Amino acid sequence: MRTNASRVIVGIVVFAVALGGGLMLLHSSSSNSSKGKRDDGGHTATAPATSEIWKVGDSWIMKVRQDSGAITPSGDRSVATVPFHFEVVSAPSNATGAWHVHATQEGAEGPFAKGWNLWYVEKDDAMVLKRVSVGDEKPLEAELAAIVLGPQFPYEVRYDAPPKNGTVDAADLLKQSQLPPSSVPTGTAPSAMPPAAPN
Amino acid sequence: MRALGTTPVWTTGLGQVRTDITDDKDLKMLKRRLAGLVVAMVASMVLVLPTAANAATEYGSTSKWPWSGYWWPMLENGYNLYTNNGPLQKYDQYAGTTAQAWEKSNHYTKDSANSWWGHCHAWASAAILAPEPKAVTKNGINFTVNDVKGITTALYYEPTFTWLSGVRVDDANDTSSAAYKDIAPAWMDYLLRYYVRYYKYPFIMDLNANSEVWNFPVFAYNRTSTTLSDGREQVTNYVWYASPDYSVTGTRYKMKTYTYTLKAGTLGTWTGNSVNDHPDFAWVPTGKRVGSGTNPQVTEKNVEAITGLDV
Repeated sequence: MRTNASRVIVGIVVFAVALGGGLMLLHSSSSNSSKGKRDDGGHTATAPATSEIWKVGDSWIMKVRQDSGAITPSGDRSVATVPFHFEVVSAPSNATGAWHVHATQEGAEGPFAKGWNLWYVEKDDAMVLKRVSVGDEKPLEAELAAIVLGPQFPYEVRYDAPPKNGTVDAADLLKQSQLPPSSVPTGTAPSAMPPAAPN
Repeated sequence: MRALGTTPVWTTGLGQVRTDITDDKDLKMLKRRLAGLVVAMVASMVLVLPTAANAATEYGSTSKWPWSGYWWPMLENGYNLYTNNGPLQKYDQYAGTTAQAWEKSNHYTKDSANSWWGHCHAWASAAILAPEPKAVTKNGINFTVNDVKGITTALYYEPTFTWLSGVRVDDANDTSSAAYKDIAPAWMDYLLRYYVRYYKYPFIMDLNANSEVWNFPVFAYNRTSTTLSDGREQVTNYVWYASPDYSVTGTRYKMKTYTYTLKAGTLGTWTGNSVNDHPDFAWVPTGKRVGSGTNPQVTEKNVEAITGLDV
C-alpha cells in the first residue's frame, strides 16, 4: 500500500512539475512573442516614420466654395472657390508621433496670413488631425480648433486623410447642430477689461 | 405700564425697541428681541450666501479693438459710397476710374423696404483686418476720414470668412423656426469666451434675430453667471461691439445685454428680452477676394496708394 501510495504521490508531483514547466514555457513563448512586437515598435522608434499616405514635401490644394450671399445684407449670391495650400513639412521621429502639415489660404490677412499648422497622427492606415494652431499661436486640440478655426478643419477631422486637390462646399462642412465644446481653453495672459458701459 | 408717548425709538423688523430701559423686565424683553434679530440675520445670510457663492463674473476683451466706420447704405440717404463728392467720386478723381458709376449701378436700391441693405459686413471685416485709415490729401484731393474708410470698406465687400454658428433668417415673418431661435446661447457664449477672451480676437455677429442683417464686430464682454439649484447656469452677458458711425476715428462702441440659461449637453435657452433680441449668426473674416459683387474699379493697389496703409 505504501509503495502504491508513494507511486501516486510521485506521479502527482511529476505531473505538477510537468504542468508547471509547460505553463512556464507557454508564458515564456508568449512573452517573447510580445517582446518581438514591442521590439519592432522600438526599432521604428529610432527611425523617422514613413507613411503610405504621404511623405515630407508632398503638397496639394483644396478649394473651399464660399457664397458671400451668406453674410451680405442683400444676400446676393457670389460664389468663389478659395484655395487652401497644404504641405507636409516634417515627419515624426517615431510611429506614434505627429506629422506637421502647414496650410495657407490665398488672400488670408491678419492672424490668418501666417496660415495654420496641423499635426496629424497615423492611425488605422489613415491620418487623423490631432492639433491645430493659427500661425504662431499655441496649438489647440483638433476637436476644439475644428469648430472655431474654419470649415476646412472639421473636414480634416471628419475625414481621416485630406483629399488632394479636391473641392468642397463650405456650407456642407458646417455642423450646426453640434454643441460647442464643454470647456473653454484658458489663456496664458489675462484678458483686458471691457470698456466702460456706454451711456 | 409706561406709555411710549414721545420716547425715541428705532425700528426693526421685530417691532419697536425702546431706548429708555429702566427695569429688568424691559431688559429681558430687549435681550429677547436682540436674540431674535441675530437669529433672523443669520437665517438671512444662510439663505443668501449659497447663491452669492455660486455667482461668477468673467470678462474678456480683444487685444485690438475694431475701428468704427460707416455702413454705407444702398438706399440713397446722402451718405452713400456713390454720393457726389463722396468716397468713390474722389477715388475716381485720383485713379481715373469709374467706381462711382459701378457702385450706383450695382449697390443701389430705391426700395425703402431694403433700407437696411448696405456695407455693414464689409466695414466690420475691414475694421478687424485692415489698419484704421486716416484722413489724407493725395494729388490735391482731400480724402476725409469717411472717404478713406469708405474706399477701404469697398475692398472688403466679399471677404473670405469662416462661418462660426447660426442659420441666417430670410423670412421676415419667421419668429419661431430654429433659424430664428439661433444663434444658440451656448454657441454665442462659447465664441465670446474662446475668441474674445482666450484668443483676444474679434469676430462678427449679425445682431438682429430677424431677417434683417446687421453685422457688427464684437470685441468685449462681461459675463455674470449663477448656478441654479437644478444645475443650470443663469447668465447675463454684456457684449460690446464697434458701432458704425460717420466721421469717427478710433472705436466708438455700443453694448447689448443678453440673458440666457445654459445646461450641460444642450444649446441653452434665451430668456427675457433676449428671446426676441439675440444674434442671428456669427462669422470671422479671414481675408478678401474680388467676386461678382465687389466693385472691380476699387483695387487694393489704389487704396493702398491713397491711404498709405497695407490693407
